[in-house]
Amino acid sequence: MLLPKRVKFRKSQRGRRKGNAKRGTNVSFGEFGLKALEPAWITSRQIESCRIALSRKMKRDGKVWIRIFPDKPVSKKPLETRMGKGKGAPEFWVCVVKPGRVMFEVSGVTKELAHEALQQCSYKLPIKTKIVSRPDIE
Amino acid sequence: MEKKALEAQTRTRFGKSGRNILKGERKVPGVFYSTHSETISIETTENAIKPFVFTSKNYVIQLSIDGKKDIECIVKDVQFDPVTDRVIHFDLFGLTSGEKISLEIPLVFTGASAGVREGGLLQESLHKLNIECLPSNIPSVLEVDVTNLKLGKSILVSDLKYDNISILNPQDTVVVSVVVPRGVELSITSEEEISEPEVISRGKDKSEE
Repeated sequence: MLLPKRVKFRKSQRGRRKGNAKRGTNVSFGEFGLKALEPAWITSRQIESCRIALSRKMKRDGKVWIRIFPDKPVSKKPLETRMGKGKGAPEFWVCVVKPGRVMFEVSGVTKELAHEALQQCSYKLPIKTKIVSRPDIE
Repeated sequence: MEKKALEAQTRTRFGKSGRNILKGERKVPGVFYSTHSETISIETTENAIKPFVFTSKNYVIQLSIDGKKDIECIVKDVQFDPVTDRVIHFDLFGLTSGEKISLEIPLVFTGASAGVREGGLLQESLHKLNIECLPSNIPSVLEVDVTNLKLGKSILVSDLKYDNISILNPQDTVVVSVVVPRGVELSITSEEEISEPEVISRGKDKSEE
C-alpha cells in the first residue's frame, strides 16, 4: 500500500475540502482517466484496491498511472476510551481528492477495455466518478 | 494545413455575471490577439468552438468577428471546467505572414513497431510537440515513423527532422519508446511494506507514545 517514506509530522489536522481541484484535472500521461466528481478522502487501501482491479482487467496489456498519493495521516482513538488525553495514534493514510481530480490513467489498450477497467476501478471508490479521455482523442 | 471558419461576436458582457449569462446561452468567452493588432474580447457558441478543441488535428481558423473581418488565427490556449470539462475560455492568436510563430502540434505515430511485434509495449511519452515555423508551413499533424523501433529503444526529439520547422522541446526528451510489458502485479509485497514512515528529526517524537 502507498504511504510516505518520510514525514515532517506524525499527525495532521483534518482540514477542509472546499472547492474544486486546481491541478491534475487533465488526462496528461495516458489516453483515458477516471475523474472524481465529489470531494473525499481516498485511503491507501482504496487506491491499492483500484490498482488491483485495473491490473486484473487489463492483464498484461497497457500501462496504469496512479495520480494521487495518500500523504495525510488519519489518527483514531482506541475503542472505549474517554475523551481527552491527547490525539489518537495514526491509523491509516488518505489522499485529499477534490472534484475534477484525475485519479487514475490508462493507456495502451482499446477504448472498450479501458472503459471496462476504469468502471471496475470506480466501484472500489466511495465517490461518484466519470471516465474522461484526452481532448485530442476522437 | 486545413482551414475552417469560425463565427464570433464582440463580447459585451463582462465579469462574473456576464460570464454566467453566456454560460446559460451555451456560449463561450474568448480573446483574440496578435502581435500587430489590438486585443479583442469575443464570444462564440460552445458548439462552434468544439471542433477546434476536441480534435487530434490542428486547424487554421478563418475568424469573422460580427460578420466583418476574415482573420487567420490559431487556437493558442483553451481553459476547461475542471469537473464538467466544458470549454470556459479560449485564446486565438492572429497569424502574420512572414512572422514565425510557436505552437503545439499533435504527434501521430505511424507504422507497426518491430519491438511491439516482439511482444513489447509502445509507450508514447509526448503527445504534442512545441514547434516554431512560418504560418504558411504549419502542419496539421507531425508524423513519427516507429517501424524500426526495437524493444527497449526509444525515439528522442533530436531524432526527429522536419522541413521548415524548428522544434522547441529539449533535444533529449523521449518521444516514444518500446518497453517490456510488466507482469500482472496483484499481490502486495508485504516484506517491503513500510508500517510507519520515518519522522524527520524533531527530538521529542521518540519520547512520544
